[in-house]
Amino acid sequence: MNHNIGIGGKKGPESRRKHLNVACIGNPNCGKTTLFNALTGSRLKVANWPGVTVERVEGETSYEDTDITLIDTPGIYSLTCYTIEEKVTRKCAMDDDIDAIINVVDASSLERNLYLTLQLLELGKPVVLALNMMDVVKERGMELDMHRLPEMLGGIPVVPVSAARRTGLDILLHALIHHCEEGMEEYILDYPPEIEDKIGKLTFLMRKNYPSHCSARWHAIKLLEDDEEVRQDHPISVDSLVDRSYEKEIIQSKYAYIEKVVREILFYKGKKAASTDRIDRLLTHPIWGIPVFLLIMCLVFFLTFTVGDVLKGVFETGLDMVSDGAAGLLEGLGVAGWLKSLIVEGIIAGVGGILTFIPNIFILFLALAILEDSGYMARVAYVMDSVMGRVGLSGKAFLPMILGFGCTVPAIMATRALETEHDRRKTMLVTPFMSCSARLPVYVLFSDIFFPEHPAVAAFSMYVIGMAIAILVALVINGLEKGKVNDSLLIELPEYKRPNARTIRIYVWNKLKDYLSKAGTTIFIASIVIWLVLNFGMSGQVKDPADSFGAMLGRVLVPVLAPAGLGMWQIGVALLSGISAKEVVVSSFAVLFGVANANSEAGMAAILENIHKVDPAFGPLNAYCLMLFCLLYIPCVATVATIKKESGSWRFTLGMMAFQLLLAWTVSTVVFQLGSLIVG
Amino acid sequence: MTLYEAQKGGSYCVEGLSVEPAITRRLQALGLNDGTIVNILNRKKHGALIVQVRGTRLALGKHISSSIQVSESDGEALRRESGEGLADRMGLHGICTVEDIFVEETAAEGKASPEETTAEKISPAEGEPAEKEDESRES
Repeated sequence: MNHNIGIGGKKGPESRRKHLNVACIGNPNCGKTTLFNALTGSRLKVANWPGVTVERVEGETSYEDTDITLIDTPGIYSLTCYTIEEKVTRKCAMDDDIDAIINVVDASSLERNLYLTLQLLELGKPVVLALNMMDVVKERGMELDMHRLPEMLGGIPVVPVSAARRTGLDILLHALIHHCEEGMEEYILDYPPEIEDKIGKLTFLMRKNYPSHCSARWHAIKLLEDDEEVRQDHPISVDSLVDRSYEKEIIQSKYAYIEKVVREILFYKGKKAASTDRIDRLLTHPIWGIPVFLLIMCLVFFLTFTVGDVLKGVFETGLDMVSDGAAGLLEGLGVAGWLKSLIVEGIIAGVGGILTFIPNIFILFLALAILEDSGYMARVAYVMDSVMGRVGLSGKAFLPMILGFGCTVPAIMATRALETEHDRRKTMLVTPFMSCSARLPVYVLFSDIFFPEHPAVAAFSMYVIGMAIAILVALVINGLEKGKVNDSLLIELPEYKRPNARTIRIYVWNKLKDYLSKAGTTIFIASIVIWLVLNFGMSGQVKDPADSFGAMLGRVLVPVLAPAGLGMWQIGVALLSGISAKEVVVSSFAVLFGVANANSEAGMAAILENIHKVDPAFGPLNAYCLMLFCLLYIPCVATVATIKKESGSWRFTLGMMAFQLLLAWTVSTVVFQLGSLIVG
Repeated sequence: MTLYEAQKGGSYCVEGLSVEPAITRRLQALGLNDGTIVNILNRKKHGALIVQVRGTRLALGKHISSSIQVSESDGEALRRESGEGLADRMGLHGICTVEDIFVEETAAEGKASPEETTAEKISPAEGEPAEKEDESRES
């Protein structure tokens, strides 16, 4: 049997150590990634809505003398291959390298989860059932017959675990290793005689033609379901047996068996999850659903701006100390003037300025983490379905858009959960209009400088405009395509739960780490490059940045940007460099004007003063147009690369960039021209 | 009637799916088959609804819900009366009435449980002709 190859395969002094490749497979949102994290010590993102994991991920763990490579997979309901996630997971499950499968099961909805289990059992690989969420089962007053359940599933080990509380993990690994040595029964349930007869014959055929297959019965069943992929891979003539797809009967037999199992093992199925229904009465209310959602988002951003600003002071003082200290130290060491300028005015100003926004970023991600882990996300898909439906997208397409408030890159990846390629592309096109956390520093800085009375309102308006433009663009596309109303929403709504502290910690820490590493790499390099192009010109090193290469480049853009009220070469440079990462717009202002701490009051005053030196007329309207332009123009390089990868098309990617540039210019020009008429 | 016309708080029995094959398969995999009982938890006037199926909640758009044929069913009462989910039993087509359940039950009792039936693989005598038949067609 294939799964025995891994055990004791290696020879030599270290041959004592065995090795197993194990896949974690289960329904969406049943706790696979939480279990994976608990077993391997990894810190992958976990949240309470279906479709968080979109790719297979590997991690290492060990138990006694066995090393285990664990593979986390996207959640699936069935081993068919209609969505990208299903394809990824199915390929992983069938991979010859996989020695065993940990089937993670949400014990509180066994009836649905066991359907996948039955399919996995038919694969013929060793399967261990990890019964997760037993605490929910207890809460609801349910009891499971742990003795009868394995009996009815062909004798596989069934281990209750709590992935969140990390209990039962050792038993799970122990059972897994033992079970791999024992091997598997291939036969769990039987289908109606007519189908069973066909399966028998097909199994025989598969064994004859493909003796190396470990799961002849599974392949036979898939042939009978008229599964496209299996038919293509096994070009044997079976038309006399498979005169039509028997999928419906096969599915019904499985569910009939599951009902039998559930009847035998589940007791005291009392009142169910009343609390979730009570919360849903408000959050998914037909009329109040959307206002409640908007209110929640309002609260998230309000907290981001206000609480974040309170915490900001600490970081500013720290940055000032570092900046002054470095200047003093370099002076004392007698370092060359240009090097000192590079370090203090280039790197510390560019990178340090970005670090002072950490409190805002922290609050934003904390709020998003709580939203995602509570179970509300899937409800948003339901609540927004009527709005999204009118623009030709399903409510599910709104989930990547909300993720876009955090970072556009994972948001683009999350579009994989959408059913059609067409929907995916459309969602990819509009997701960058959701203001990501990198645009936050731009909004905070310019709102604070130019709208000192109501900075939070000015910044929040960017989020609203972004959302409105995303929906408008989708609406226009739908109109051009003469598309219909899309109303084929299909999503599972998980139970609400109290957000898990560990999950939130991992989530927020990962995001902050990303932000810090971006500051240390992209923004660091961009700051140096900006300093270079601003300090060197045709005649070598220049005193006045106006003679630099950067100014030459920026001046080319002035005529184009002037109608939008952005006719300064400095803005041209900032916007150009902002393509590397949106925070760099702030960095480059700091470097341009030699401001050590752009986010402090003194720094803001210095920026305002410098801007007014160049263009005395540059006022709130111009600043607002700058924010608008930053919201709408080309997203960062990382996003562009992700869109290229996910769409697989340069044409789409380049077309999208051109569209965004055009849109950014048009919107900011219209706002500036109309605004000038009203103001002046 | 279709599920789209269903009332909030009502309990219904699925009679058939008439939506694109890909969506049908997904629904079936989620446990929405002929005879399955669904409870309507929440709904918008002209839009998506939230149903409870096999202990989980699903949000379904209008397109999908209006392609699921259902009949009204006193599902919960039936469940309690005749064992868990008996009404959902496979092969129970058409309108779910108490009579159907009883017929189904007696039929089920007559049938041996899967563990007891000969779960052995088919005998070579049965398999051989099929294989020969197939080989000859291939050549």
